[in-house]
Amino acid sequence: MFTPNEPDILSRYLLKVKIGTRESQLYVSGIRGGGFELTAFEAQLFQHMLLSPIFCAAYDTILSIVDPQNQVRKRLYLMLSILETSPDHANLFLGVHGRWACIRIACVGASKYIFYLLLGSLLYGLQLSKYRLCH
Amino acid sequence: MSLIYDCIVVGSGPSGVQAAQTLVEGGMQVAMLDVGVHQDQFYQEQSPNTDFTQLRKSDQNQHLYLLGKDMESIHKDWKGQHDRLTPPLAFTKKLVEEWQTKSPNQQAFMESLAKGGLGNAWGRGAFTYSDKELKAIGLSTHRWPQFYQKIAKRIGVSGTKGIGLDLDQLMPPLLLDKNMQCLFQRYKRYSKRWKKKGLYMERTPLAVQNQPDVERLSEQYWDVDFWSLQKSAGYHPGHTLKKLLPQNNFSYLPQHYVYEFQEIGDKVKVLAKHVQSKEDKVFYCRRLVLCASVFGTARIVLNSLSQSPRKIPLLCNAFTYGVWLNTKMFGRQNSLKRSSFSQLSVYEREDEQEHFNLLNLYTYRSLLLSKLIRELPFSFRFSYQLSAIVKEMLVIGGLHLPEKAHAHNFMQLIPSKTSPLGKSLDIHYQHDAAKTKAVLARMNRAMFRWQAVPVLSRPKAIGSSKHYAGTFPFAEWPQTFQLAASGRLHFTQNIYIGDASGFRFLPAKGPTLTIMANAHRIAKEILKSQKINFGQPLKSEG
Ligand SMILES: Cc1cc2nc3c(=O)[nH]c(=O)nc-3n(C[C@H](O)[C@H](O)[C@H](O)COP(=O)(O)OP(=O)(O)OC[C@H]3O[C@@H](n4cnc5c(N)ncnc54)[C@H](O)[C@@H]3O)c2cc1C
Repeated sequence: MFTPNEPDILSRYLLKVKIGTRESQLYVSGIRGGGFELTAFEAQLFQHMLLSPIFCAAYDTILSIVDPQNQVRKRLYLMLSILETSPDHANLFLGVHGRWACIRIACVGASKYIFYLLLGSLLYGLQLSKYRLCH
Repeated sequence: MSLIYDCIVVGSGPSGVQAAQTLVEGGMQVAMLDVGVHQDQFYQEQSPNTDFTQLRKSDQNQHLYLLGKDMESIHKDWKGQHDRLTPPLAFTKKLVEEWQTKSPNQQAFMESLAKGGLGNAWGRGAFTYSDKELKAIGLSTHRWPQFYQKIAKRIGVSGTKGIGLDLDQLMPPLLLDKNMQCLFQRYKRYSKRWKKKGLYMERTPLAVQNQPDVERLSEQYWDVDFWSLQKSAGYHPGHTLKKLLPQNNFSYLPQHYVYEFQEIGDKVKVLAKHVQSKEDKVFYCRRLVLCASVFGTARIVLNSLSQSPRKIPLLCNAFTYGVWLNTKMFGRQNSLKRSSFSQLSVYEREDEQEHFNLLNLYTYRSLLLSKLIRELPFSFRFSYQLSAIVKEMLVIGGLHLPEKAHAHNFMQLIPSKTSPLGKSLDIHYQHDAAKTKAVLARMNRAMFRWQAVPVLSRPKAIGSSKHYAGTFPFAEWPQTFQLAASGRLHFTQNIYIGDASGFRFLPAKGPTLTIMANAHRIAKEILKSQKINFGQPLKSEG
């Protein structure tokens, strides 16, 4: 399963950046290369996740706890690695400097993490019951 | 009709090339039989040749070597297969699964059928063993400083004299980056007290060129050493092979998988399979030197001399990987000039025998951040933010523990349907997990005092240390499947083993410098033991 806006949404969630054709093409060829197939439940989660970067954050947060090896996360890992090896986004991976910048990022990141954890638990629970009803 | 070589060396890893160089310099006609898988042309051409930070900002093709042309590193990371081989160095393991079959649960024991063997990927930690360690291995200490010095001259060693390296005429150590300078200063402030507790911190001795040299690049601090074989100042066996190839008395014969030898009178018949055609080939020599690594050599010896499965001992260091955060680096930028190699080593004296536990510390930039993000238990976005903050604070360490022989650690060659040779290695190994935990806890306490906070530690699968030894130990009295001091296999006339198979003990310090010095020593023994006229024109065997 592959949706054309997938690389765009995933990168907006991961780094809040807009990607070019290079990154999109690499992502597509990575997925086509195999090893990223989703189960029925994973596909259902993924479809919902692609509705918005906020859902991406929520599902990723809860999956990192309940099922870190989920194939949905493997797709996120693929996108993250492509972004890291892209000259346009390299700066974002070369470290943050300045104490205050570090403290600010950590505090904001942690509070968002808690929010997404709560949202993710709710959404994941709903998706799980929906899946169980249908199957 | 086959030629009779004075000597056949099997394997082109660090031990094979050093033995061959000494034999060639001694005037022998030497052939090197090797499987010799080599690096893809693709990765040779794609090799990064500039500073890591620069190439990250400019190279449009960096994904090809950083992630692999088929994104292979993504799949490997996801499966948790951290074999420490970057995509350009993955050729080191090519063909191994097909030819060197072993127990499925022991895949972390790494082998190589490559030109240069595991020596393509080694971390270049070049340690010398103390007299006590050499004795525990089963080696006489006589003339060892000379053997070490000879190899250091051939491969180039940089560092300072201390517990890890006892040599004169070294190249100066590589530069320390800011992160490591902070740690080192913290240690040095109370070094007397630490030493009393048995803890020593030193610069890691490295087989890295740190002075201009006509043949080799000197260290550029580009931090791409594990991504580029050609542009690294680190030694690999290809450097020696390049010098040997033009010699008239040396022949390199790749594509040959050696599986058996037979002693016929004063000659040795060596049987090999051509890797492509699968045809059987026969070679003759007067002396056979097996340098096919501990596992490769064991397969050949057991296949040649043992009718039924026979258990032989095995040694392998326990290996744990840890991550610390150097709090002094919070919000600061680390030096841009950095190498990928270990910068500092922490030695902890284990007992009166002066056996040490060893923690090697690294801070390389070229560890991609996504690999760290993948290890953290949070969402990718939050893990990314945390990693970007702590990137410059990261200290990565590899903890090795010394290993003695135990009855429960052994391997045997058993019949197998999947192997092209009908036999496969069955490995049984256990480590003392409680001991590893205790040593790690002590190291963590010390690191904490040096203001590095422990954040992660993972005891790695058995075999991950990539340091192996002890299968045919040195024995003073002739015993089957053991070695004489000269490296000759007892009850054979002309079969020598030049790799680490003879070591009865495996110190925590990387063994490769000692493996090379021992291979050189054994080659000298072979030259000395001569009654026949070596260096005569090759004769033919009808
Ligand atoms: C990632 C990594 C990091 C390491 N870091 C360090 C370090 O910092 N310090 C250190 O001291 N050590 C380190 N090591 C270990 C070091 O690489 C080995 O100790 C060293 O390579 C052993 O040399 P060798 O010649 O015995 O065997 P190998 O290097 O394994 O070479 C074996 C050779 O034999 C050939 N061969 C095998 N079987 C056959 C056969 N049947 N027929 C024909 N040819 C055959 C192969 O083609 C190969 O050329 C590291 C290893 C790895 C993988």
